[in-house]
Amino acid sequence: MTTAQPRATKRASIATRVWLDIALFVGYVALSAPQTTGIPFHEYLTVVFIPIFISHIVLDWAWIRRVFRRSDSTRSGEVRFNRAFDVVLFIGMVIVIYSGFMISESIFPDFGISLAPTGFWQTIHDAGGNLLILLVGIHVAMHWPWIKRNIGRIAPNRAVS
Amino acid sequence: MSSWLSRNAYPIVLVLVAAVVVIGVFEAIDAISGSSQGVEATDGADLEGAAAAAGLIKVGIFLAIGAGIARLIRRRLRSSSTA
Repeated sequence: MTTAQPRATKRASIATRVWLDIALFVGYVALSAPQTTGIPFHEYLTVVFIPIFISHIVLDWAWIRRVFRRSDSTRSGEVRFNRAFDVVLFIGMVIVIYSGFMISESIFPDFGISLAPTGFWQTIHDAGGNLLILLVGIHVAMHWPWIKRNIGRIAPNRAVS
Repeated sequence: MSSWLSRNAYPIVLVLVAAVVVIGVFEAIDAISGSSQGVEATDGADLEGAAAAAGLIKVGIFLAIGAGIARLIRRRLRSSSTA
């Protein structure tokens, strides 16, 4: 009984993380295609996407703390690459989201706020948005072993080992 | 929900502070570069048919290219660690 409780808690936590990651990925794909979804949906979806994005980082905080510890000379090249790459990805995501708000055509005007879009933010949003898709592809592929393993763990009809 | 927020207040605040720092740096770059001239807003009209599908196809292609690059990176990192 005492050993069953932590296991159940851990499984629930992984299920939450996997489902959140799936939601994040689906949301990101939808966000990256404003030509398909339309600008208003693109902008309002961003508002939903932000808390999911923050939760993605917070729920993986233990991993982030572990890989950013100073005494990590034994870390593999892959872990060190992911650490640096994820920082770049975070910066890219923040700036693409922010630049999107700076050139808002729907959400701010809906609330009576008019921002004059500038060429700087437009360029950042367009170029950064395209580059970010590539970076997200790399991010997902670099963490694919974790994703595959844990989707297998939460999949139904799978005996608990 | 509130207990989750209070339990994770530290990482949430750190993430938000990091985001503000990033935005601050880019705002400074914008101010220094002085590129404050406006741009013509698009009408935000939804595209239809093939043009709309092209948006999703582009995302799929870019993600696939990213995954291909990641594969090369992983192969290179593994070969350098075993060398």
